[in-house]
Amino acid sequence: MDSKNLKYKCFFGLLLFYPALLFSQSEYKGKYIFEGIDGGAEFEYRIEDNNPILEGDFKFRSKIIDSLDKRKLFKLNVIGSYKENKKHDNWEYITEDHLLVLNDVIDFEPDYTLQSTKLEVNGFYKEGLPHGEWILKENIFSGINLRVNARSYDLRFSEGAIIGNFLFEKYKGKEVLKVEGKTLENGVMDGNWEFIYLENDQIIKETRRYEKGFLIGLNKINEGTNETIQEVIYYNTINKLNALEEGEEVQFRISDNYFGLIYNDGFQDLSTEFAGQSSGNELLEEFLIKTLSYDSIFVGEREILVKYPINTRRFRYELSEEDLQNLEDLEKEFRKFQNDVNSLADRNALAINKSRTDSLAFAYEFFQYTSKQVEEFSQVIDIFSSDDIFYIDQSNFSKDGFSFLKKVDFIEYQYQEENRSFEIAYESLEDDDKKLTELFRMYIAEKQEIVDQVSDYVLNQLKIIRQSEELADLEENILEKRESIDELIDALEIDDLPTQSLFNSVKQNIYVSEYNALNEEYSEIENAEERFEKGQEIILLLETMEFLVENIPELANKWTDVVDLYTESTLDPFTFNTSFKVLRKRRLVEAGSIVYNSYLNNIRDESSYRTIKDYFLDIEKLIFRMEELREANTNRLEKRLGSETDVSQIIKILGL
Amino acid sequence: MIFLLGGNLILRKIRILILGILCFFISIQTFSQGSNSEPIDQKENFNFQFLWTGIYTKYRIGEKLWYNGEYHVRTRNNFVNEMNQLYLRVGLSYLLTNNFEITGGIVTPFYWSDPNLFPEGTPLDKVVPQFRFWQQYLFIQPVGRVKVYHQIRMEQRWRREFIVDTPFELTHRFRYKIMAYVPLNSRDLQKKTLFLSLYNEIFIQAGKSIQVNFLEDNRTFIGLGYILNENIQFQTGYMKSLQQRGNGIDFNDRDIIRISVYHNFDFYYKKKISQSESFLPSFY
Repeated sequence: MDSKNLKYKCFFGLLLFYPALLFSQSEYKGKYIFEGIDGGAEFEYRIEDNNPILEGDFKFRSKIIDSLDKRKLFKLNVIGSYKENKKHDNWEYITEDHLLVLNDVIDFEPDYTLQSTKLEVNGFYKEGLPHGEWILKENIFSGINLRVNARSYDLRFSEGAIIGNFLFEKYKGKEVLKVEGKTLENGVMDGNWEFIYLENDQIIKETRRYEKGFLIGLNKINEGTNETIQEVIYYNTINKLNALEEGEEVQFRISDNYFGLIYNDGFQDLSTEFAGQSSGNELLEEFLIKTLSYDSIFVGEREILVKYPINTRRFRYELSEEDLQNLEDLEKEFRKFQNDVNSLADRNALAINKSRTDSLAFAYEFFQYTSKQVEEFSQVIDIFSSDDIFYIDQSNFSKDGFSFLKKVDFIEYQYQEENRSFEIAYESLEDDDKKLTELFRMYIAEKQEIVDQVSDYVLNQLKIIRQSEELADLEENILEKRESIDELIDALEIDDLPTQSLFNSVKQNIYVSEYNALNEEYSEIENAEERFEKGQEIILLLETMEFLVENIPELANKWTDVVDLYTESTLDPFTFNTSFKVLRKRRLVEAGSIVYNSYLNNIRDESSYRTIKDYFLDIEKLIFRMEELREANTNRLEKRLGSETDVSQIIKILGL
Repeated sequence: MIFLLGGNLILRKIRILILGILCFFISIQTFSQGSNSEPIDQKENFNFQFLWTGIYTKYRIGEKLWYNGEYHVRTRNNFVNEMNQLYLRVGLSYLLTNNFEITGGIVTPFYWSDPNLFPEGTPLDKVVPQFRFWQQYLFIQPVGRVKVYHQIRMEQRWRREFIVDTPFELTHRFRYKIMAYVPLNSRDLQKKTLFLSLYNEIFIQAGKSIQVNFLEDNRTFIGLGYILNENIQFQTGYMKSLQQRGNGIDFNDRDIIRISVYHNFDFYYKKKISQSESFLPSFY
């Protein structure tokens, strides 16, 4: 055979199979949820490993009238295409928000005003990420005027990050609000940035200077008065960058990671370095959310950015093994402290009994006070126990101090309508030259000691109060429960004999034998605490019995329902009976039945109220699994079941 | 009241049906006796005993399409002493409605010769084959809990005598069978149902070589059936067959014990279920 013939064969082979390749794609036209929005879509897909892979053109339309305010209409029109289930090439999103306000009706003619916003976003994708030119344009229609409200200039993405010079503009009356800046590779902010925004009805012009992702200066001017409102020079950052550039030996380096719009080197939320960036970033975020609102990798459900196409950089600080160990210990110690404080602060018994003694009144206020302190402290510990600690300059972090660190706690409380107070001083805070971690640990240790002392006292007092009250309540509760169960049993009707026999066994094992045994033990105990515990056991037993009385009668039908689920009416080709009952997946149902019966036997034989309910959970799991398998492909499962009769093996195979 | 009227209607239908079946049986027997009412010296009945063992298969291969197969071993001479017939009938059945099925196919029976029926010294082939096309129309008539079946079957038979070198000749056969299944231990024909099976079938043949014996056969069957499960059923019973012999006067009076196994399997369901159970994406 010559090569020419072979080529022809290949060519005709391809021609023959090409339609098959085409037809392996399926078309979908119908209801669809696009990025959480209900609507209708048209697209093509194929199935790979039981997953649909979208491929080719994609169209989506949605029109939603607000269910609460019928004057509001939302429309979305999306056109794009997928490649290997990822957005590809050109996509267009057109969002319309309309509000129709009825002003009057004159001679049966409505007088209304329409207020609309139309947002058009057009952009390109590559492998699911924005890549190429993007245009954002927002128009507002009010009454009869259509005007531009916001737009972008020179917006360009590369693999999901904005790169190069770009400009966002927003028109507010005669004012033009804007964000203009430049980014490098990976969307890293660089050079001069300009933000113009409204703050307290004043036009603010903010200029920033970035050095390859590091913010080194920020200046805000009131455009109306030309007055400088704020100027922040990030000297610390500049010095660190210089040190790195000059190759100095330092304990930090530039991190390989990229961060969001806020530049942070351990600045606390209220610091000028941090808070100064907020207004400008807010405007930039607004533009980014408008642009990427239908890309869930960037914008989350609550319209917040979860990934940024524009980034800052940070320093990464080296931490020694000792530092890391200290951090780990700090977290452990703090969590214990937090738990101890909160458990007492939230204890109802303390709140109810606080007026009994002066000490209890103090203890109540002490724990309320400390729990607020713990809440504030917790935010810092969260940072220290996460990876964020590597990006925090601890000198920046501690510069403004911490509101929760107090050398003296002043606890005010009331007892017998008299205002009293108590002071607690902490020695650990006397010397604040220590490293932060060390300082925190010493402070927590000192506070923990006090918390332990107060806790011990409180718990002991509460225990004494509780025991006498609770035992009386408990015994009354037992009697009431017993009576109510007796009534339930009297009213019980079980027609099915095996179920009746099952119930009788359970009643004998749990309600008679086990109850009597526990009751005997209870009457022999003298210690109040142990007696209470035993009484609680009896209550649990009775609650379990209540559950059993309600649930055992249902067992009669549970498996029949499963068999019915697997039974179909079909045509018998010999008798031509069209409603011939056939049990489908027979092997599976038989195996399930073996397991079900074994669970029933377990219930019948169980003599402890503690474990008997577990079998009901097992039964629920089995029924759920059987329902799940009804429509599933069970060929392999049935083959594995074969003629298996061992319950544990069947349970394993069924994946229970 | 409506229920009672409906019940009365069904009872009346059953009565009419039973009456119809009885009349039919009586007419056939009368027909046979009519032949017997000829002078005794001109008519002779030859009695034979047979055992017919058969497997009936129906395999569903499409929504309304079944492969239909019948495989019989028939023995004679005190039921089992000699081989009589090996019989393979295959075809395709299509269910037009739930009460009407059509079938078509081929039959290849093999007949074993009985030298006792030929003058001594006649050269005979021991086994002679036949080839047939067959078509069948089956009407199903539910009457209350009873199912009545009307089966019309046509066959084009290429057959020959046992005598050596006799040529194959084409003849035609028309069959009508009326059959009833009466469930005995349940309301309808479900799994584990024991049922009474009754039928009568008349065979009429035609063709160049058929001169006098147009009424080829009349078979009356009474038996019991049992539906073991959705795949297997059994039937056994006694059948009386009265065959008009070639001279048109004499009859073969055959007593036949029948044992049949019915097997069906739903390949279509298996295929459908494996397709429907395969992944269908949900986009909403």
